[in-house]
This record gives sequence, structure tokens and C-alpha cells, in this order.
Amino acid sequence: MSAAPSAMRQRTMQDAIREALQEEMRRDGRVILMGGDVRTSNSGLTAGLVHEFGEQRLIDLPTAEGAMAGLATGAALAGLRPVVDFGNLGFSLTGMDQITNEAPKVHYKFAGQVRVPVVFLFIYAMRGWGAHHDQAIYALLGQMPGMKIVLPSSPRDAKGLIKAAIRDDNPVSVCVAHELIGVAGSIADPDDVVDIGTATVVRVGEDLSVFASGAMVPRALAAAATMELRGFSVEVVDVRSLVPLDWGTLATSARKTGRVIVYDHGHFTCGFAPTIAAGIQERVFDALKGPVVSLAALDVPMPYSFVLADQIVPPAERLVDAIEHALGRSTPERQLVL
Amino acid sequence: MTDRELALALYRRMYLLRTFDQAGAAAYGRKEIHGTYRGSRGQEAIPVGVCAALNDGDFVFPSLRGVGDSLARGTDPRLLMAELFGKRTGLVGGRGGSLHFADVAHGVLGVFAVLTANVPLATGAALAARVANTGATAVAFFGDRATNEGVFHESLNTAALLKLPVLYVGINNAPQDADTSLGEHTAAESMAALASVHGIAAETVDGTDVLTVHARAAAAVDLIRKGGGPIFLECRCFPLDEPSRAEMDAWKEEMRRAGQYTSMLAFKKSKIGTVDLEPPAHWLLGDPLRKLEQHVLSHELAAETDLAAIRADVQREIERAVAFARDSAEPDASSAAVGVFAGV
Repeated sequence: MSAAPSAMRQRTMQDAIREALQEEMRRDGRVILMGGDVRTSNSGLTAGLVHEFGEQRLIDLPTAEGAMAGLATGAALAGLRPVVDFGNLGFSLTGMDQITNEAPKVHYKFAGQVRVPVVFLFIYAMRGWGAHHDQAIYALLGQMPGMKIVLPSSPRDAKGLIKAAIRDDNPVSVCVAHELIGVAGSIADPDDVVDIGTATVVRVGEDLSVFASGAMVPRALAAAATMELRGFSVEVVDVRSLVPLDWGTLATSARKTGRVIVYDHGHFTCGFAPTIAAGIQERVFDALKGPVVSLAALDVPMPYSFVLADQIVPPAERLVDAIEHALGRSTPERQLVL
Repeated sequence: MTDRELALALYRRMYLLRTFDQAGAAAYGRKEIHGTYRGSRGQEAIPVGVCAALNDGDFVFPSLRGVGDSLARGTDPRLLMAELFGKRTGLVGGRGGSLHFADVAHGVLGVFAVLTANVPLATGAALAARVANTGATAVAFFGDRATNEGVFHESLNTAALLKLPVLYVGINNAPQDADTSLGEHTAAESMAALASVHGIAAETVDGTDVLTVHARAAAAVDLIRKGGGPIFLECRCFPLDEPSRAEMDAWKEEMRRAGQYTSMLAFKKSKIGTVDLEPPAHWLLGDPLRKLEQHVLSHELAAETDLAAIRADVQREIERAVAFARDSAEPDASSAAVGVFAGV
């Protein structure tokens, strides 16, 4: 029994990612998938694709992150367009030389002789696993010029950003929040590519702007709904492309509302929240009614207990408190550590 | 190609590496080249012999001594010297120097300054050749210390598992007076032994005999092209342009006696540009150029005057390369931030 057309387009983020991979592999024979278990699909992101594309294009590799990233980069140098299903973002640390030191730099340092069209597909978490699996450390990759970084917040964006990443001639890290993997949403037409480097206003408001990405977007929308009940209009901008940043869209929103909170899943120090806050203050200082606030994870290794973890990553309630304070309606909740 | 043609072609190329190194080290001494200069003196037979066994379309990932490896593959000495001078006309416009350049036109997909970083990259290029069914072989050159990095073993394991078309060329220039181990940093007896544990066919050859290197590389590449999987060629040679083990020991003793300590790197760099074209006596038997000269003359493949004519020709070529590098313009300062991303 087939579902109605509109229901057909409801997909979880996991399914949307698989569709993106499938459509791009059909479109371009140079696209290959590599990773620990992409044939049997440990992550679920590549489930079943081996039946259509065969073992030649879904390549299982030993658990060795340096070799995984290096082989993908070398294959890209030699003309393929590999996608590496890395699994957890924390695992990137053992492959860091190849991910950060080789792939992003070669196009520039070799003066354009080569291109590295490789996609590093990471899943990040920040709750319930502990210090190695709970690491929203995409900001580390941001210190490596030449690497693009995107964080989808919806199945539609996940599909569109992965398609754009595969077609991009540069290394792109796609960081997918674990807590969003199973969340459903409507997805776009097959060729609806989301341009990397574009932010999008997901809720229009007048009193204050929240800049968020990935799993922080639904939380920001929940906080905005709470504030609406209290009579305030909060704008939510999904940053979604951390490198390159869409300063134009962010500055336009900041200039309109005059109040900004940057709400990030990653740690504070050298993170994207203070980076974006600094850039916004430089660009629209004259239009601001108060300081741009960085609301990010505390600089603490992630503990396993849910009770402890929820002290580290600011939940929607903490964002509501920060919005109330920015609007001059309360004193801020004191942060544990910064 | 006749024996004479092959021998003279190899001789010309090895002499090109030797002469380029002499000029490069001298330019380093004059501070026309900054950073460092890593020459290939004494190990020219390895890249020259291996590269002569390759086809167009094969990929080469040089070692940290990538200048010689790239010249062996056919890189224009003028563009390479200009790169070392940091000039606009260099292979990568002055962005790379001796440790970061590529010459894609000659299949050199890049020199990488991180030890062993090229090994997984070459393995990946081999994977691409396999997937796209191009028939290409990828070659990685690296020294004996590269085997200490984890990614060396990760890559060899993967290549063996997937039977990838890659030739690993280990340049063992560990001091030949080392007793049973590979060197101060490795307990294993040989690079070949380390490759063997991953199930890779490995052999050790005299890396100062270019004809042997060429023959064994050609045989290896032939097997690789037939789908036999990766092969490891360990080539032994002598360290040149570096202090000998005895010199290092003497230096350490002097530091100890005087109670004044300087860095070992500073000591090693002080040797760059001080070496003569004539190799020191202690490694004379292992000079790959001398070895080939003796072979050519004793087998009457050519006369000494033929070799002298080649040497004079190469010397003129290197003089032109240095002049080209010196006369070239600096990079355009306004281009410094251009081209971080492709397609923008």
C-alpha cells in the first residue's frame, strides 16, 4: 500500500542522507563511499547501497582513521570523489594529520594544481556517551583553512548540503548531530542542493536574533516559541555553514533586531560562538543594543551522567533565560565555568 | 632501449640530481634558499631507477627528499629551482619550497612535509586507480624512519587487504655501521621485515646500483599491473649530506666536554652546503654514480668522453636553472590569500 505523495516525502535525517548519497552516486560514477563498515552500514547512513553500487564503490576499510582519511584524500587527488563515513566526530582525532594537515591545504599550497573533492561525514553527540563519543569539536576543523564545515539541522538540509558537499571541489566536513538522526521532516526534490556558505532564517522575529546550527536549531525554535507566549518575537537563523560563514545574512538579522545570542553545541574557547560574536560586533556595532552573547558548551570534558551532561550544554531553558536577560527582563543565571 | 641507451639515460638523470643538489646546497649556503635543503646525494639510484620503470599516468608521491624524487620523474629543474628560491615562476609559485610542491604534469601528486603522510595518500591514489580501472600504479618513496609512524602500518595493512596497485619504496639510509637493528629508532632488522608482517611481498636490494634498482622495480611494477597487490622494495644506501655516525658521536662528545650545548638540527644544517661534489672516501664504494660509470666503462657501453659530455651538458642545464631562479620575480604579494578554496 503506497503512501500519499506528501507522506512519501517525509524522511528521517538518516534516510535523507542515504538518499543524497544514492542520488549522487547515480549521478557521478566517480563518487565512492569508504569507511569502517559501509557495506553493512554500521552508521545506517549507507544501508543497502552496496546492493545497487557494488563492492567496487562501497569500500570497507580497517579501523585506522589516519589511513581512512589519507586514502580518501589520495583517491581524490587521483580523480575520484570519495565520501568517508567516519562515524563519530571524536574518532577524527586519531586521523587528524590526514584530515586537517593534508586534505585542506594541498589545493592552496600546490597553487591550484590539484583539487581534493572529499567529504568527511561525521556524527557528533554531546549527551550520554562520555568524554570520547560526546565531542562537538567541529571548531578544531575550523582552524584549518581550506576545509568547509556544514551542520544540517533538518532532513531537507542534510540532503541538500551533502549533495552540495559531494559536488564541491574542496574537502567538506559534514557534521550531523546524533540526536537529529532519527528525526523526520519533509525533504526536497532530488536536485534541491543547499549552497554551502548560505545561512537561512528559519523563524522571523523582531526583538532578538539567535544564531544556531545543527541540533541547537530545534532548541532555539523551542525557546523562540516560549518567548512568543511571553509576548516577544525572536528570530532564529540557522547558520548551517560554519566555513564559509554567511556574514551577510547574519549581519542583516543582527542589524534588524539589535540583539544577538550565538547558541552553539561546541565548547566556548576558540569555538564558533565567540568567533561569530566577534565578527558580528565588528560588522554591526552601531546597530547593537547590547553585547552579542556566546552561549556555548562549558569547557569541560563531557561526563556520562545525563544530570551532569545537562550542566555542560545549555538546554533551551538556559537560552530562554539568556534571551530574557538580553531583553533586560532578568539577571542571568551564573555559568558554572567558562 | 639498448643497454647503452638505458645506462646513459640513467647516468644523465642521476648526474642531474647530483648536480642540482650541489647547486641547491650552495644556494642554501648563500641564503638564496631558506628553510632547509634536503638533498639526495648517494641515493640518486633509487628514485632514478624506480621512475625509469614507470609509465606515463603512474603516480609518484616523493619522500621528504622530494627534490631528487621529482627530478627523477622528469620535473623541469628550472621550475623546481625557482620554487626553492620561493619565486613566482616556481612549480607552485613560491607557496611550497622544497617540502611542499607538486608537478602533476609529471604525475608527482605532491611532496608532503609530515613524515609518512605520503604513504596513505599514495595508497589512496592506488585505490582510485583500482576503482576507475586505469591500470595506473602509485609509488611512495620514504626513508627508514617513516616506518615508525602508525599511519605507515595502517596503510600497508589496508593495501595488502585490498591488494592495491602500489609500490612502496623504502630508502634505508640508516648508518651502515649499525649492528643488527634498522637504526637508532627502530628495533626491527629491516624495512622489508616490517612490510612482510603485513603480508606484503618485500625484497631488499642494493640501492646504490641503479641497474639493479631499475630491474627490480620494473619486475615489481609488472607484477603490480597484473593485479598481484602491493610490493615493498627496500633500497639500502648511504647517508650523504648528513653527518656520519662517527661525526655525530664526535660532536656529542665535544658538546659534553665543553659543557656547551647547541641543537643537533643546527649542527646538521651547518653541514648543508659544505659538502664537495666529490663524495667523502668512507662511502666511495657506495657512490651510485661511480658504480654506474665503472659498469659502463668496463662493459664498453660508452667511452669516458661520452660520460664527460653528459656531465658538461647537465652542468650547463643546472647553471641555467639557477640563473632562471635568481632572475625570476618574487610572488605577487596581493595573491597571498587567493585560492584557498577551489572553484571560487
